[in-house]
Formats: sequence, structure tokens, C-alpha cells
Amino acid sequence: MSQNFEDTILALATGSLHAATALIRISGNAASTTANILGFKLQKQRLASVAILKDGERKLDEALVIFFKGPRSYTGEDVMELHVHGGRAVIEAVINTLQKQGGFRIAEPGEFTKRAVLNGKMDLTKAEGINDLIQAETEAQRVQSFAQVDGALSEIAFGWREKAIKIAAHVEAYIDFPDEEIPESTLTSLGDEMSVLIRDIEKGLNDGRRGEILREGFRVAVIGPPNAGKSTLVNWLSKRPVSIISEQPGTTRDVLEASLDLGGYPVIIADTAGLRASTDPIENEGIKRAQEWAKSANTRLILLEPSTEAGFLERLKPNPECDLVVLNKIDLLPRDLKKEETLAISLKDEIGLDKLLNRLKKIASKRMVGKEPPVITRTRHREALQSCLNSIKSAKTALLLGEEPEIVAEELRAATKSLGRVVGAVDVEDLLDVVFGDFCIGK
Amino acid sequence: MIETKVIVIGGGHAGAEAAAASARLGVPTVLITQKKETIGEMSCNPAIGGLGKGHLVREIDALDGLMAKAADASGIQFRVLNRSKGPAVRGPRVQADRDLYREAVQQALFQQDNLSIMEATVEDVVCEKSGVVTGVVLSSGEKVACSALVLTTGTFLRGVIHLGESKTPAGRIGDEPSIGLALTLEKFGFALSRLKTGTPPRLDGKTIAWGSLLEQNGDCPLEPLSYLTDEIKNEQRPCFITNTNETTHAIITKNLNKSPIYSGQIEGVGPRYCPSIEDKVVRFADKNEHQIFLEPEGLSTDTVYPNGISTSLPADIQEHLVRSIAGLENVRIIRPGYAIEYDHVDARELKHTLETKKMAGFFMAGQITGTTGYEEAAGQGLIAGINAGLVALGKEPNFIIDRAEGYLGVMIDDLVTKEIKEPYRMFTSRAEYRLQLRADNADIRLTEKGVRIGCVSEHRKGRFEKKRSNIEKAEDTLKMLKLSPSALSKLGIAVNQDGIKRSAHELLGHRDIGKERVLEIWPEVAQIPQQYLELCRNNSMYESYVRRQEADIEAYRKDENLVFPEGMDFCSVGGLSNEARQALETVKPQTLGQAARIPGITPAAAIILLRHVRAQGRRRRHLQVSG
Repeated sequence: MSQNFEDTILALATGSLHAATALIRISGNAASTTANILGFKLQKQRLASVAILKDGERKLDEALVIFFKGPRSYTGEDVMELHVHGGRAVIEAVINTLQKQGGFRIAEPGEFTKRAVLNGKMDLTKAEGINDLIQAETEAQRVQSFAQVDGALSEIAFGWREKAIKIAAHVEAYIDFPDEEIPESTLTSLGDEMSVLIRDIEKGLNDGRRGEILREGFRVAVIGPPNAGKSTLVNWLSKRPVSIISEQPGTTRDVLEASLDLGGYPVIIADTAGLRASTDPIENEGIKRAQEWAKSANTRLILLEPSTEAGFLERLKPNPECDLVVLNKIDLLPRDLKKEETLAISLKDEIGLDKLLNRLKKIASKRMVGKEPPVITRTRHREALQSCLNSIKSAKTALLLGEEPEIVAEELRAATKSLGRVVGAVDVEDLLDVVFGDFCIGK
Repeated sequence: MIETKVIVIGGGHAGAEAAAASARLGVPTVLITQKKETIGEMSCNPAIGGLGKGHLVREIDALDGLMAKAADASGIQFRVLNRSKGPAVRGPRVQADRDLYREAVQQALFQQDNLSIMEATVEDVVCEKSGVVTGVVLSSGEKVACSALVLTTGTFLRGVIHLGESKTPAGRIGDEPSIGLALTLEKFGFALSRLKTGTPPRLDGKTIAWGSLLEQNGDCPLEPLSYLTDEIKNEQRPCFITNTNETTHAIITKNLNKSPIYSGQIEGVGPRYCPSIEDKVVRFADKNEHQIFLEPEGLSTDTVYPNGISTSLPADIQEHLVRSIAGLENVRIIRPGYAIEYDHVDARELKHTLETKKMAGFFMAGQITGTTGYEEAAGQGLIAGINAGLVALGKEPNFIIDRAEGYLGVMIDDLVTKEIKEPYRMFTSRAEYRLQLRADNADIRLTEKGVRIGCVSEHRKGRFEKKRSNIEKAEDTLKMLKLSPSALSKLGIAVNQDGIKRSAHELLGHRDIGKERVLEIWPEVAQIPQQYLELCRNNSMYESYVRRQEADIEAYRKDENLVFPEGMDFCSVGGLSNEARQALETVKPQTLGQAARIPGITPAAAIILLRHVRAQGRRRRHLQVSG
């Protein structure tokens, strides 16, 4: 971490230029001096006012300005917001004027939110939620991200933590007060309470990674023999020319990814090299990559064509639960040839494509939607909760085996710590870089 | 004018340890007390040790303090509490003969080289303009000069005894309070606030119907408190158990308005963990009985201490109250119980050495810092005494026990970092590294550190070194004896068949295997003396957890070793919120670790402080931690 929190930071908080307005956000001790530097009068805090921004006598822009006095601000520090006109020259002029003064520097990615977390304005899960919301491409992603911003995960994690602390407190009391005052029977009910907590956390963990898949996108590997039409399919699905199409088998060498929004669900579809025995080292590398990508995919879309030899599909060992076997080029076949489980399409004649889309959507949504919304959206959460679960299980085992109460307590202390890690109550420094690594500037 | 090096004011448990420790360092020391004959007095219950407290006593002993030895010399019942729980949370406790205990402490102090005792009342502390203590003024007007001073006035600072509606200024029953010193502390700008504590009535044992009560005997064989004690010579005595009942509770409820705590007469906050019987009845209204231990006060007295009914109700009601209890129907009260309210200093004014931040050479220890209990007081006295001695020797006062080394460290760090809202008492749950801070390994943890600083006698050093080498030998032996999982399973011991050999040391700590089985497999283990084998077993039992904590301890020590420059101005650090600044200004933490533990310090504030210190390039004036 190279950032210095004594600096006042500034950045453009809004997106593309040539827009009606753009927001320049400034946070830190010198934020209030912005008014003086840009030659406008500081109005009452949290009140929007119109001001002419100036560099000395040179007028820069007419802007809407709002000042938030810390700690009642996004970052918890003094924050100035300058809503200027969204042109590159305007923004550059304003930022340059401030930077000339010294004490201001351009914020690093995620630094505003990082400061908010460090200043106790929000916990880590909310910060992650904000980042996800910014990155959200589909409606389902937006819903999930906002739930996290709204505290869905943090409420649950805090709730579990509270329960774990309560259980731990009973064990601690049993240890620290003589048997006469706190009888051993204090402990007997704790086994049940631990079971409830274990069940709840297991339920949370046992979500088929819905939250992570939704956040990261459902991964579909399109695989099959050369010339089955994989690239044509990917181009058709993504409505753009992702891959080069030719009659020549083995045209696609690398794995080419495209993002789709399938009815609100994010899908990453990958075009891959056709699978065949080849002597070309480059093609073989491409085939290796195709297989690797397919291994980590959520589903394999196995695309065949009428001339594909019978053993091909068998070798891939398709899983009827999650793999989708599609037969392309049915325009070349007589009408009556149909297999039950095989989806028959023709990309050329656009036959069966709606059905394919629906099947794909169904498979994808099944993996991203459950009865209850998932609480875990990141591997980080999963690891911390898993380690918490392990600790509580160990505590329960120790309790049931009649092991010493201080051993039970030790496991519970570890469990509480793991839960704290989810919301960022412990080991904050270590987590921050990981969490804020993928933030974009100005947030 | 009299001149000395270190002055200790007060002859209670903190004062006695402080004076003895300073003198052990070879520093000329004077202990000033109002009454020589009350040195080492147990003002409240006649017992030393217990849960958490037993750990403290063993740590004091490991640094060659007095308390454990005095308790052994006066012990009339020895019992290890929490026997049913693991060794890390067991607390040795001694029922002591009050007179023998006091005599043992006095004898140790009177025989201590470099130490003299002075009977006097201290009126004022003298300090140079630059904030360095130079001596004290006695009530006679005489001055005593010193280079360091340890203040251990217990409950004497503006002490007021409450008994029903009557209020008597006193430091303890029958002793004058210290008013002058309270004014002195105020003059120096120390923040004072009120706390209260209480004591139960003392009963005449001749008037108790013992036959009807449950008898509780000590352990046999018994375990002494001091690592140096080989044998307990005193005759042993039982305690007896009785209970309050609904009639008792009705009497208390009816007379609550006469209890100074409830009438509003007492403003100080009492300990939640050692409540008066009034508190218990009010707070646990659903309980229809509370246990009382009838503890003998000594071998040559009939006085009985009824542990569990501390009260400040008027004397006549106390009599009514105790007589409602089984076995006490005809009891005579020798002296009624009372509550005492006193001033204490905000311990956040102190460094980890217990030196005040305001005045160099001025140390405080014991109840004055807001603690309750003999053991807590003695532990602080010891640390303050050693550091005061170091000041007098012209050395850096840097004798600090950290949270991973001992309960002494946990206690002092808590005191100097967090605001005290009730009298502070030790608990094992306060120690985050509890599994390695056991009562049976306090000497292994601390004695060598004491040897290095010079507070440990040659005699103890010799014994300790012998013990340590024996334990090392025993551990080596146990680790050398190994069997494969398949060989073990032939012997009927089920372990994972992973092909990894298991040592006798590992199996010893395994709950399903243990000592007996290990002895069957390897008869040569019997040559290891019982006590060492026990210690090895305890080490083995917690080994995996202790290893798991190593990274935590390392991180903790890293922050602890980042020392702020002396007199750091926290207001000048940019980027801190007002709240953080205020908290830092109140505590004036010495290390980054301490700063981060202050309630209200956000991670951001800690990071800002880290950067600030790094930027100033004054890395690491190493506060002595373990090595």
C-alpha cells in the first residue's frame, strides 16, 4: 500500500466525457480550501449552490458545488463535489488548477471507498457491493450488488458473529467462574446452539456458488469438432464478429470470450479450437487451452454436426445435468432425424435457435437463482465462512467429546475472528489491497 | 533531609512487592507506611490466588516476588480451582492465616537488604519544574529525597467507609485516609474518579452450628503456590458452605433503602464480578439462594470470613440478615461489613512500566490504578518496583511483560489502554494467548527475564535453571520415543494410518491416550519425575493451538515494537479524525499496537500513525519485549 492518507485526493467520479455534467470529487483535509483556490464562496455544508470556478481571474466553468463536512460524508473526511460540464478541457482545467496548489493528488483506484472503509463509514462487504454495482452489466447483477450494498451479507455475517460471540461468552463464563456459580449444565445447551449456527452457515455456503457465478458471469465453453460452426454460433449469440469464420477447419486457435446478457443473467461464452488429433504444435496448444477452459466452465455447449463420428461425443462424457449437446447443420439432413436429448439447429437457416437460447438461459439461470438470494458473492467470503464453519464444528466436536472448555473456547475465538474477516473487523490492512485492487478510479 | 533512591508509599500488597523488587535490584529503598504493623495486611478475604489470580501469583513468584511464598507460609487450605477443566485455566488458591501471612510479608521485608521501613504519613510529593520527582514531604514537615517514587495507597485516597447511613473517612477500618496525597495528585493534574468495594461482616466461629453445614477440604496432595516451596508445614483447615435463602433476600429487599449503594449515598462504581449481597439480590432476582463460603481466618482465631455476603447495610440489619442463614442462626458478628469508596487515578495516565506519563520517576501500582484484588495489586507493585529501581540505577525503565508473555502483561496493557468503568479484576478470558499462559509454566515464561534484569535471587535462579534443563531433557526423551501408526494400532491405539510416526510426547497430550498408556508402552518414561511429566503433557496437549497462534503473536509484537517518539504530539498528525485525536490525546499510547487497541481508533487512524512515524524515520527504540 503506497497511499498516504494525509493527502487530499481528487478524481473525476463520472464516466465518459462529452457529457452534460461530470463530477469531480475531492476528499481530505484540504477539500474545504478548494473553494478558496477556485475562487468561490463556501456555502453551508450539504447544500448545493451554483458557483463560477476560476483560476485566478481566468473563469473556468459554471458548476454546482456541494461541500460535505467530515465525518458526514462518503469517505468520512471533508468532501467537496464539483459538478462541472462534462468536457475534457473543462475537467482538465479544474483539476490542473487544484493540483498546481500542492497538497492535492489524483486518487488511486478505489481510494475514496477505501478511505470510507478505513474511517468506519462502511464495512468491507458494502464497499465490495459498491464496486460490484459499478461493474454490474445485467439486471440480476445489479440486484445482487445492491443487496450487498444494502447490508445483506454484512447483516448475516454480523448476526452469525453475534451468535458465535454469545456461545463463546457462555463458555468463557464457565471457565472463569467456579463450578459452584456456573454449573457445567451451562454448556449442555450450547451444543444445540452451535448446531443451529453450523446449519445456518452451511446453508449459506451451500448455495451452488450462485452469488459468485452471478457476479463473475456464467461460463459457457463452446466445444466440438472442427468446422461444426462454433465460431458462427458465438458470433450469432454475441451479435458481433468475435471470431473469424472460414471453411477451413482449425481456424480458431485461441480461446475467444464474449459477454452476453441472457435475460438479465451474465454469461461469458467462449469460442474454442476444434478438437481433433493434429500435428500442428500451434493448433495442439489451442486444443489444450480449449480443454482447460472447458474444465473450469460452468457448462459445456458441445456442438456437433451430422458428419461427426459417433465416438466423439462419447469421449467427452457429457453430463446431462449441466452440459448442452447441440447438433448443427440440420439443414443438411432429412427432416425426420431427431434425437431426444440433442438439440438440433441450423445456424445457416436459423432453425431451432430460439430453443437453444431458451435452454441456455434455463441452464444459466438455474445456477444463478435459488429460493433465497445468495449471501456469498466472492471467494474471499467463502473462504472466511468455511474456516469459521470448520472452527465451530471443531468447537462442537470438542464440546461433545467432553474436551476441556478452553479448547472449545479457543475454537470459538477462531470462528469469531473468521466472521470478523468477512466484514473487515479484523486484519483490515491485509484485506484492503485485495479488495480494492479491482476498483476503478474516483469511486 | 533523608536521602534514598526509591520511595514506596504504602505497605499493602502492591507496596510490599514494589519495595522488595526495587531492593532486590540492589537499590536503596524506603517503604513509608502509616503503621508498620499493618504491612502485608489482608484487608478483605483471607485467600490468595484463584481463577486468573492464581496465574498472577505464579508470575509474581517467577520474578521472585513475595506473595506466593507468604501464602505458602500461611496457607491453611490449598485448592486448585477448575480442576475439572484444562491445565491452562486452572487457578491455584490458598486459604491463608491472616496473621501468619502478614508476618511472612513483614519478615521478608524486614530481612530484605537495601530496604528500610519508615512509619510516617506522606503529605506531598516534590517535583522539579521539568516534571521529575525528587522526593516527598512527610506530615512532620521532614523531606525525603529520592530518584523514583512508587505510590501504592490502595483505598486510602480520600477513603470513606459506608456502614448503613454512617460515613467515616478512613483508608481501611481503623486507619486514617490520605487526604493530602489526593490533593497532591489533583495539583499535578491527574484525573481522579471514585470507585467502591466492600467487605462482609466477620463472624464468631464459636457461635456457628458447624455440624449442619457442608464441609469442603483442600486438595490432597496439595500444590504450593511458590515454585520454591517444597513442603507445607501448617495444619490444614476446611471451609464450610451454606446458602442465603428467601428470608435473607426478603430482609435485604425490605432494607434496600438503608444500603448506601441504593440510597444514592455511594457514587463510586463497584465491581460487577464481586458484587455485594444487595447487588446480587437485586440483579439476580430470580435466584432464591446464593452460596456462601465460611472461610477460617486463621489457625489461632475463631473469626470466620463469610465469602459471598459483602454488604454495607446498617449493623443491626446485617445481624438480622446473617441469622436468617442456615448454620448462622445464633451467630455473633465480630465486626460488621462495610463498603469503602475511594479515589483512583485513570490508569491511562500510566505507561506500561507504570510510570506516570506526566512525571518522570513517579510510579503507581495497586488499587489506586482502579484494580481490585491482592494479586492484581501485587503484580503491579512488582513491575512498578522493578522499573522504579531501574530509574534509580540510571537505566532506562523498560521492564515490560507483553500480552503474550503473561497475565501481568495482559493486565497492565488493559489498564493503560482502556478506560476503567468498574474495578478491574483478572480473568483468564482476558488473555488472548491463554493456552500458553499457564500457572504451571510461569517460571519458564518469565524467570529468565527476571534474571536478566536482576530481580531474581541466585537461589531461585539455580533452582530454575535445574528445573528447566530437566524439563528440556524430559521433552527430548519423550520426543525420541516413537512408534509407527501400525505398531500403535497393534497396541490398541488408534491413530490415522498415515505412516507418520508418533512420539511419546505427542501421545502424552492426546486426551484418549495420556500418561498411563504412554507408561505402559514405554516403561522408561517412569524415570521422568511426575511434575515434569505433567508439564510436558500440558505442553503437548496445547501444542497445535499454540503453533496456530504464533503468527498472531508475531503480528502483535511487530506493532508493539513500533514505538512512538517520546512526547509525540498526536494533534500534529494530519488526517486524523477529531474522535481519534481525542482518544489518542487521552491515552497517549506508546506503541502502534497500543494505539490500535484503544477503543475508537479506526484502522485508518492506525495506518496514518504508522506512516507518520515511518516518515519521521525514528524506527524502533526497542521497548524490551521478550528477548
